Amino acid sequence: MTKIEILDVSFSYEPEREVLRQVTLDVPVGSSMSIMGPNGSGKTTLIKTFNGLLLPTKGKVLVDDIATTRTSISQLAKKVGIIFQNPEKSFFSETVRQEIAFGPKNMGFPEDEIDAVVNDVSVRFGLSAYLSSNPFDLSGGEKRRLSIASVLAWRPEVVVMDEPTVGLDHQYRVSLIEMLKGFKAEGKSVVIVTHDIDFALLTSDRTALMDDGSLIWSGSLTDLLKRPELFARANMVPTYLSSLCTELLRSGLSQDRLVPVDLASLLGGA
Amino acid sequence: MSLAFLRAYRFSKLDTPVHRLDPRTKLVMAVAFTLLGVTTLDPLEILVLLLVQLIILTISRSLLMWLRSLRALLLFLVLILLAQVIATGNPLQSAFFALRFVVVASATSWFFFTTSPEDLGRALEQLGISADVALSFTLSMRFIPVIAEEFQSIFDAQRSRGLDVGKGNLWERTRSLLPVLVPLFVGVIRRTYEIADALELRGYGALKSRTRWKDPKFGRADFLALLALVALSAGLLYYRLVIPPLDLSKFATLL
Amino acid sequence: MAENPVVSLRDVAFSYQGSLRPVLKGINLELRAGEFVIITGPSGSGKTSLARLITGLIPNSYPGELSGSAVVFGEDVSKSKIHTLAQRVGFVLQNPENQLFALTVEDDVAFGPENLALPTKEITSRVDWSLSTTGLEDQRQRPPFELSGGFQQRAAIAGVLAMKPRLLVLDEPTSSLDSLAARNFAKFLAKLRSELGVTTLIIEQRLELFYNTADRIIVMQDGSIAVDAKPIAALDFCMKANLDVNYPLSYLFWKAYGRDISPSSERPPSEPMAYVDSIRRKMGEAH
Repeated sequence: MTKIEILDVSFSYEPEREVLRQVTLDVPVGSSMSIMGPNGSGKTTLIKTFNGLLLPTKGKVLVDDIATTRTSISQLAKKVGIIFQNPEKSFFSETVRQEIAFGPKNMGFPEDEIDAVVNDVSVRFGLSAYLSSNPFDLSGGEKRRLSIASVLAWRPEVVVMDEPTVGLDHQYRVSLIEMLKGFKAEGKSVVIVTHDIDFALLTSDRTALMDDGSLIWSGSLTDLLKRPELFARANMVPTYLSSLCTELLRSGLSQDRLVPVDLASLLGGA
Repeated sequence: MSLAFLRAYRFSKLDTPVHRLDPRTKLVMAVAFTLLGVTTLDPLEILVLLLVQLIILTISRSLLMWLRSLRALLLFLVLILLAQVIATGNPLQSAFFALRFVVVASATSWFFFTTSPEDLGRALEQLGISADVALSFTLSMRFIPVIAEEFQSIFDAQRSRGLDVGKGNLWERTRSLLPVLVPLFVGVIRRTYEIADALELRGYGALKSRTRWKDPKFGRADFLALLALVALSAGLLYYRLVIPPLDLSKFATLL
Repeated sequence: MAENPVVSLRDVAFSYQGSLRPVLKGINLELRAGEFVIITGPSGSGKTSLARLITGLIPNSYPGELSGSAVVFGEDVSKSKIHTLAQRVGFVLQNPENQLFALTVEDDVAFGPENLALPTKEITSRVDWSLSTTGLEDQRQRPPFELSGGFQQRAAIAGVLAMKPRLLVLDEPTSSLDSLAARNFAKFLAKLRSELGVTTLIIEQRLELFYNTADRIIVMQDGSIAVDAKPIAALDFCMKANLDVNYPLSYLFWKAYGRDISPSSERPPSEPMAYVDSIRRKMGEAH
């Protein structure tokens, strides 16, 4: 199982502008973690260090004990799959099939294996009917699923998503939650960058809070809920759901029944 | 290296007499200096023009930026110098040749340092170029950094899917960039449609003519600057036509 | 005093050119001066197409088959031009970036009034007013490219406000904002409405922030209007009809436990703490 260790990492684009400040974090193997913080807190910059897109100016990032400076992005991408924001902006193929095959092809999968993974992943993400369609003809939700399928196609052990819920409707959000449960069941490590506290509550066990490039806090979501003042430190506002969960924990509800939050059972199966 | 060169022409917001001049005045001055510089090889004229440019650069506080921009042109300058020395055998004359290049380049340099693209667009509109063209100009400037950023994010996304751009000859490397260039192109086209809609939604085209909020206005300083320009040009032309040129060929023996 | 409705759509249907599937079917809708209406529904339900129709983008920029009567401020949309309607209808698109044209914020806000050929003094006064209303005075000289998402959105709104529209249409204004910025936006919108009284139509998925202050919610589904009613009544209808709507959590909890705590209350309480005991009981925990 791939492990990622971020050790005292700092990063600046220009000497005066430090975007990451001495961040130390472990990506737990086989569980789901959220990285939360307001826009501009450095969350996206941080995940770019996971696959070598950005190399730390100080400190180091180790993926399976190898520093990202000592290997290539394509090697790292095999283990760490990142789906960035607005992924449909990167579609370039004429067919959905070609789009999905792009990653595996780059990674040197043999021809027959490419066909196998493409079919496999298109069934899983409900795209088999569209394999010959043009990616631009798909609906918003289908496009998102295509972008996720394109990354899952080469079966990375770590899946990272940057603000997966932004710009899409509620229905897609629900299907995304199911998708993430599936990844977890397969033993993949999942990292979700989000500013949506509710989404983090519904999908992750552990979280890291960032503000202005620094890691303010990391731990289990339950611990975070017990300390709601941390939200203010990270320039975030507690939500209706998070306040409710905080109260539930305060009133003595046992921890293991709460996070990740199951909305249906909170509503009494309503 | 190429991007540093572009920075040599960037506008910086300062409040100096030069910045405050009407962009049309500055345009005329820049064109005049360029023409005067290009049409002479006389060392005295070149020195005078260089001095005037240096004065303008100093008043507009862009001297440092200008020097930095020269750094980008340094290689070019050295090549010109060497070529001339080899061709004429006259180092002094070659030096002035290279200096002339600096004079001509500087004319456009200080123009762009002190004139915002917006002001330039307005000036063009005033000079009779249609509002559409002036708008296209400012829109392009406005969106260049946006497109550059989009290129970077698409590039990042494709590299995260294993795209490797380093290998092969120029042709192969360009081809491997297709997964970046195609979506970029599509995105730009899409953006164009949205911008066109947004323009109309703000009433563009509703009326036959539009007001210009910050119309460049000709002031006393502009009048004086143009007067000085006319005096300078007259003086130089008189010198050129009446007084025989400085003969530098006698310095050839110094080699 | 019965005033003419600001927007009046009767039996409107529309399909985009080259598409057989109608995106709008049998739309009947009236918008009155001063109202605050939310349009919601899943993607593909026709919300954006409806907004495009009201602003004249349909059918002028997006040609197709349009039937029925669409009248905005007394003008037939199909016979009017976008820039003419724009003088009374302000449309803020989802992505603010493509609506900011100039190289500084203040020049951009001036763009609309310039297009209306207003005199310079009037433009200056409108620019100053717009910037102060949207809290952008400190940003006025900055280029749009350097602004954060929240500020860019405000700049786009400022540009539209400078045209003094009588109807403001916003397409998913909070979709790319984080929770703090979204909350600030909701406060800003409330302030704007109380100060200007402008009729406001927003397309939104994040109902939590707005549903308590809206006059009506219109839920769209598959191109038709499923329900057009006061917020709670509309949500009640959706629940009964099992519609897939992004129900605000405060509403859902009120529906699940409201009867236990305040059976006579007409509106969901804003504090979730009231439900804690009920939830724990339901989850089977002992006190």
